[in-house]
Amino acid sequence: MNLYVQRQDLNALLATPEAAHEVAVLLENDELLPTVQQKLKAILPDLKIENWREISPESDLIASYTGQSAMIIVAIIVIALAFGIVNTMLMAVLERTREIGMLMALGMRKERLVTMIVAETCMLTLIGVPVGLLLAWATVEWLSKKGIDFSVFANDMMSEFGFSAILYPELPWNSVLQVVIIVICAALLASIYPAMKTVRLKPVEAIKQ
Amino acid sequence: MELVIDAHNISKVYNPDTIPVYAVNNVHLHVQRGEFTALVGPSGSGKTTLLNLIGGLDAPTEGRIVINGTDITAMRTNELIDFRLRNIGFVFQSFNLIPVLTAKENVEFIMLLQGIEKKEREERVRSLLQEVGLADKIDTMPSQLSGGQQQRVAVARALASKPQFILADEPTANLDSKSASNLLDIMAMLNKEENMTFLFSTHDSRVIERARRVITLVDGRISSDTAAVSTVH
Repeated sequence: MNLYVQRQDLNALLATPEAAHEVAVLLENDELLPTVQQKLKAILPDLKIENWREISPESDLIASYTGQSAMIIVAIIVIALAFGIVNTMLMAVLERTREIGMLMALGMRKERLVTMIVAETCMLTLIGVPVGLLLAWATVEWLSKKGIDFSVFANDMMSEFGFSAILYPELPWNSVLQVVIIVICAALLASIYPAMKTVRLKPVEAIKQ
Repeated sequence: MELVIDAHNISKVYNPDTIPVYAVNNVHLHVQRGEFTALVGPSGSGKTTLLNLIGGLDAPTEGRIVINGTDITAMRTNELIDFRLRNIGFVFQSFNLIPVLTAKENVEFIMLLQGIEKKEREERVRSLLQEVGLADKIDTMPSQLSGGQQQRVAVARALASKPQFILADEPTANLDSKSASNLLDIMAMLNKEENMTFLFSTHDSRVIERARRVITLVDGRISSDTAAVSTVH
């Protein structure tokens, strides 16, 4: 249970006028933490300057768990994405078996066919990535203003750890860049199987389809 | 006379280890430059298989195929693909144009693979489509062309690579009689004016009538090889 009182009332009760046991400093972002802590220690050598990780190791643990689980979720999404691309490109190849057979019959080398499939995947990715980013940015932008309200599910638990029940997400651009690179690599890897499938086609059989 | 196709005792056997089926059985065939030859026979007589073997799309189980002095049976995959690109024109039964490309692009595509320069490609596409009577359909997609028109684009495409000969597998099978006759007129004209060699399989008696040589296949063997009277020459 939290109890809030005016500082002057508390000071009067404790007979310590104009005093405070603790001052909390809220920073703009977590990355500033070590430098600000260092500076404060230099300015106020007599006081105990602790950061939130030191005061509340359990919150630190939760924060690092959240980071790890986010990585797992990203990995699952990338695997699903790779399967999605394999599926799409495999369909693109199978639907056009006759056309590919005809291209081989007319004189298209296998390397060119592979290049064609990989190029198609690249185009799909290069169109999909910006569209996805735009949608993600719009969603996060909207939610960063509106907030995601968790009070129904976990009001007490979140406030106990010092988190607000309403979260305001933001896009971490560094991670976005990493994810974009991972997605492009996954797409290229995923195009290998359909490309190999194409190369194994025999023109005579493919044309019959 | 110049020998273009020289097939030595070729056979194509399926299931050689269990119950062997001879799709083509010990066929010996010579085709000279400028021939207009029909390959006829009932369904399953091996016409398509023989055309596929001559076109290097399938490898014979036995025998040797020499095209214009080059033995294609000994070639590796990519070598054979390049050889097809430069020496053999194909016209398939079901048109087989690339649906997302216009008539012009479908014809141009072969020359693109051959590495021909843009200017020369464009000129040749125009003259080829003119030859097959489709100058006004140059930018039309295959889906907006009739079957006959699509097959004429396919003929133009087959000619685009300046092949040694054109193989056509039942080119009129999916066409109405007027379109079929029109296509044959064009093929005959190309044969006569450009000395283009044609070898085509067919069921169609009207097509057979116009061939100068008719080879009949039965059960994978040549049962007769006649020089039919041509109405073209």
